[in-house]
Amino acid sequence: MTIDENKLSEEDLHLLKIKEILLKEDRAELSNLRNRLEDEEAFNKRITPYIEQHIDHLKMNFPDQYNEMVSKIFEEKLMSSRQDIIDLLAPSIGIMIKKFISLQFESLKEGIDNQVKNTFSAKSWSNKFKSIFYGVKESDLILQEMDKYQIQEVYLIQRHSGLLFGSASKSVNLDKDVIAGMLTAIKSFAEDAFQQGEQDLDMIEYGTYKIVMQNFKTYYIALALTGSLSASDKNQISNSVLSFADRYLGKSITDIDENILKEYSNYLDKHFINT
Amino acid sequence: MLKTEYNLSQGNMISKKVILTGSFGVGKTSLFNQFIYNKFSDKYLTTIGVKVNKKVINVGGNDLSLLLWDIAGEVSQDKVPTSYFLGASGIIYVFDLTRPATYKNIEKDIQYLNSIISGGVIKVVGNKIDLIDSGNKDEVISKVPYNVDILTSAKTGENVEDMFQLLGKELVS
Repeated sequence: MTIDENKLSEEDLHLLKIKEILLKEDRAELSNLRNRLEDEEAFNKRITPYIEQHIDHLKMNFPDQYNEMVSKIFEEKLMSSRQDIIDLLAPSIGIMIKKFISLQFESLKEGIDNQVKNTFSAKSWSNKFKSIFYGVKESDLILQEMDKYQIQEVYLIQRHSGLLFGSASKSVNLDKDVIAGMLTAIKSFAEDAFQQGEQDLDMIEYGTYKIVMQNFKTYYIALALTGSLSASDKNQISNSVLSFADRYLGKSITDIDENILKEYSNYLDKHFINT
Repeated sequence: MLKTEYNLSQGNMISKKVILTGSFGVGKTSLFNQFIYNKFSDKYLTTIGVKVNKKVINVGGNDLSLLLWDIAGEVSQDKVPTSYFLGASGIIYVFDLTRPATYKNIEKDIQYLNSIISGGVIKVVGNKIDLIDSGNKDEVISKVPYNVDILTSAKTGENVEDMFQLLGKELVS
């Protein structure tokens, strides 16, 4: 605001001059402060460290200070969007369940078809007799047979080095040399960690897979199986492995090369996979 | 019935087990990753137990399949489970050129490793050469109380392939 000094009384003029004298320093300081605030670069420079400090503090203490609030917001959001989430996930889950059930039905149908075909077979009569003698339902015996173990993969591995002598499998899988090495490393680790004298790791369970290992002096045989495995199944597998060892593993192997790999892979395939 | 798959290729490739060992933080896993995947990461993640992988190299016109065991570092080699070394044809003993603590037990360690894999090949490798000034290289090596076979950098990849070639040649000879 500008003041026309000519229109002021003498008293007002004096008052104005006194104001000027008394407020001179304050006005200069105010002007300086205004300049500093209006200079964006200088203002940023001054304020940035405080903001950064506050952000750091927030980062460090966010869970303590806001955990409850965020959880509450999230919970509320989740509850209010429940139907949307269900709509979003239902098709995928539905497809998964449908696939699983249809697979199970397929396998059940296949099993029942086989059982119907074999109604008057020797096996069927054997089940009927077993059922009468042992008091186990015939249906249980049939189900037990349907879930019988299947050998998916078999590895013949040099015991300490973990080098592969041979392998056979029902499907294509990852690098078998690395699988053999890792199996051996896991065996070594477990056997060292628990230091149970001469005991060996003989089974690993992973999801629907069971890896059964039978150890010999210089090599071991690992079989990856699916299905359920009873004590008598284990015994049957053990006998099969022993018969393989007896038949094919008489000679000692020093260097492992591709001829050895091919030869033993053929034996394994013939004995365990394409029997 | 599905057709059985075999993991075979042309020629008559030999397989050998090789162990990467040494103190912790010397760069064994980094050498392993550089050699197998041509990758290097600055992040230090300590190895738990052992990691196994395979790489085929060509030595004198013949393929050699190296099954590499990258084992957790230990200050002294007699603390490493003996079973890891069994059946190994070669050992790569790695130390850090910038940390004298990683090579002060080298003589004792190599003597111990020789007793475990008698007849096997042991290569002594000084890693992290990229952190040493070229002018100080000789001075640093003179402080190592054992004959160093090769200097490598897992970070830049310098001499990493050569190190495995060097070992491979002795393994097939």
